[in-house]
Amino acid sequence: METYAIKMEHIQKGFSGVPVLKEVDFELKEGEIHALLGENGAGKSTLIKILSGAHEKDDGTVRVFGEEVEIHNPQDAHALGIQCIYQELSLIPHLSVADNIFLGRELGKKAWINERDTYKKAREMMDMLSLDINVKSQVQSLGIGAQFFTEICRCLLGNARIVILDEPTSAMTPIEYGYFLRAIKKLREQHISVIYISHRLDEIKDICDRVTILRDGKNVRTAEVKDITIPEIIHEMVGKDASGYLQRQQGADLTKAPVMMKLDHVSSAKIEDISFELKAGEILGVTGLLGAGKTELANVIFGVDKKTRGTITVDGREYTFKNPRQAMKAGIGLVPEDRKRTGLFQEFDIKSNIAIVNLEQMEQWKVLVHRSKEKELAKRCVKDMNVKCRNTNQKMKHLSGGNQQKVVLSKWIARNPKVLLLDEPTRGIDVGSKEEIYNLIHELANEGMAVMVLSSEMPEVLALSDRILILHDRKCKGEIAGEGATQEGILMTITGGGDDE
Amino acid sequence: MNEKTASKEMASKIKVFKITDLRRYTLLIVFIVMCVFFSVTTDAFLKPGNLIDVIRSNSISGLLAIGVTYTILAGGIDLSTEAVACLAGIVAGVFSENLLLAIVGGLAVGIVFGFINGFVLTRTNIQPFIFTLAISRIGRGIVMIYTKGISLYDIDEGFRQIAKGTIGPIPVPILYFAIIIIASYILLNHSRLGRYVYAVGSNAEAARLSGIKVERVRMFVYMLSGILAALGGILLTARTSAAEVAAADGWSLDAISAVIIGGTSMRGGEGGIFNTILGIFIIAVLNNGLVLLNVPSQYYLFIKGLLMVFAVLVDFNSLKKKS
Repeated sequence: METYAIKMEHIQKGFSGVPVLKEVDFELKEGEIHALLGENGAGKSTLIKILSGAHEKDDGTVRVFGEEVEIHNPQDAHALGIQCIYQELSLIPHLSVADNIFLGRELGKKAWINERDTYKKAREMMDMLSLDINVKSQVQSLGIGAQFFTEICRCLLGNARIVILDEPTSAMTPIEYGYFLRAIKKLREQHISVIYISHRLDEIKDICDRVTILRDGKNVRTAEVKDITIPEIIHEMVGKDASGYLQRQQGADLTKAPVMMKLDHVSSAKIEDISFELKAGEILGVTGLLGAGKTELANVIFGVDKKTRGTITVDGREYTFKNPRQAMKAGIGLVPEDRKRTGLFQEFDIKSNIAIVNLEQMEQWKVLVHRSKEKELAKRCVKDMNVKCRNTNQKMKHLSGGNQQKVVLSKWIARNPKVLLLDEPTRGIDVGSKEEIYNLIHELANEGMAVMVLSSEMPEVLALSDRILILHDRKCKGEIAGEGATQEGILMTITGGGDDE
Repeated sequence: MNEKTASKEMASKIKVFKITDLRRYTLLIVFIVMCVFFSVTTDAFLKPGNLIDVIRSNSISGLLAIGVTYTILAGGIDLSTEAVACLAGIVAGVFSENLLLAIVGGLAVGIVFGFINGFVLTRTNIQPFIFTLAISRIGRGIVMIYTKGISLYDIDEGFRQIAKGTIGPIPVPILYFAIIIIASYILLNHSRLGRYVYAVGSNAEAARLSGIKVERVRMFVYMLSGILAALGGILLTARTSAAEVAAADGWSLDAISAVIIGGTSMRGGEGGIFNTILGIFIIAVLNNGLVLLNVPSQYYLFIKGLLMVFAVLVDFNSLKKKS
């Protein structure tokens, strides 16, 4: 009988009464690379966190190398040889690769670090993975690939027998990916078992031996990679009832609507050759996997990143924006992806947050801010958007994510832009607010605003868009009509699994 | 009042508000308690002459604190103010026979130094702390090279008058200070530019995406800080009838202390002019009271240090970080 590195049976886990994992079985053979696939919310990360000790299971059994174990915390997991490498790497940027590998397990006597041994051992580990990385370089000077390999070495040093990789390749360049392929095969030669999570289905065939697909907290299929096709994988991931949201109702006939914004072969340092038209009253969905170039596209349009080639036309006039201010003057608004970091001022109250992009409207004697107009606008916005707050003097940091997002949206809508770019408009907010924001977006378009919804959540794009632009690897991979579009269709276009392009 | 707060403390959010409000009032309460204490324990404190004296003796160095408030609110800091004040004072002293030239020349020092600070700090990643410290040394260095270490005591009588007279019972430096306080308050709290200063200090990236020219705002705060420091230097020369090579010694840190004691956050984006004014006068009243109580002068520094520790502890955010 074969040895299983991990054998999980009937795993159940719920959060505050909501079941997330329902009787999940999962097996990892020794020395295999096993892909764990599923949509957002399918239960992948919960399953992984049970293994790594971040969560405790409610029911079921976990066996590691045949022995039944209870994993209560990350230390238990480490003791069993289970190591997890997350997307956000946890290295010290100013230290060298070698120092990072041996961090907490320094070589040497007492307080002194034996540098020669440290470098030599680190060098050997990199050689073992057939990697050519200078172990004396500072981690921050290296690409994401090299940083990832540094993490791998850390795991190996901790005597890992089972390594969990959470979307390791999402930010890697093709060259780094090449190294990565070689390194991961070396791991297999060392009889290390790997659980591999990725949204890039095309990689699964290169890397993995078997796949397990989760959907809605259940494992729907486990198969040898060679026995399953990408379309089959997609079908299993998405299931039958693909989208729970209402599809976009065609508001007005868009054939006669004027073109509000046009991009013609636009490139920047981060995106390549993107062209599309956006009409007044239209909602254009833009989607792609992580790192596909969605946010970067918004940044070029809004003047954050420099355009290197191509033309951007807004309402009939051609522009080259040097900064967001110029884009705003041309009638563009951007609700950025990372609300907390770039979308709002946490220490400001609601009214100042709304006023900050609308100060021109409330000027008094050229320089002063008209306080009563500021208050008036804030009150109107809060009421229109149904923001739940005590009053408009409440600080932003005390609002929930959904209410914060409503404030951010309302400040841009108050400018009445011709083109509104929404980057991940519903990330991290509650379902109720999500619904309200969807309705609002439909309404804005029906009133004639040109809206771009950039989102990695495909159901969101499907629910909102008249047309969908699909990005992959910083390029435009295709454009499909919103009506009749399916998640499978989008995934097909991304992975190139379809017959034609 | 107490019962009301107690009943509302169930909701944790509201509790947070109460503590933050408390923090704002704590300093005011400390100030009032100090004033009451010195009024009771000494006869001299409440006399108009003494109070005017307390205000007057801080109204020149206070100008530096107002400039520094702007730089700190915008997320930076300016350690060069005392050197700028000193150099501007020397320049004004040298040209004191020509009133206009003295003032323009002095202010030009502030403009040039403010511009250099702003220019470099908006175009590089150099830390404001270290760069303005270096500029401070350069400013003091220029003073030493130019004067060969010899102070000027030959100041024109006409020039001296700009800081010497009184209007009614009020000495003119207090008047200048009051005008600058009001003007800088209006600029900071009621103008677009002032709003942008807070925005840049609170979240520079969000400010950029809100169409704010972040570099221009930063340039402005350093220019303003330089100009106010220069104004302070000019007035100092006029008032003391001397352009001394060691003038304004230690004023940069005094200014920053006042800003911090007043409760303006070193992280930027939080605080304001009135916080700084409160900070200035908490220190000033403490100093004055200690003198009136005949506390030996060697204790002053120690007590001032304790006051700063207290002020920083009152900062709710710094307490929160630990937990």
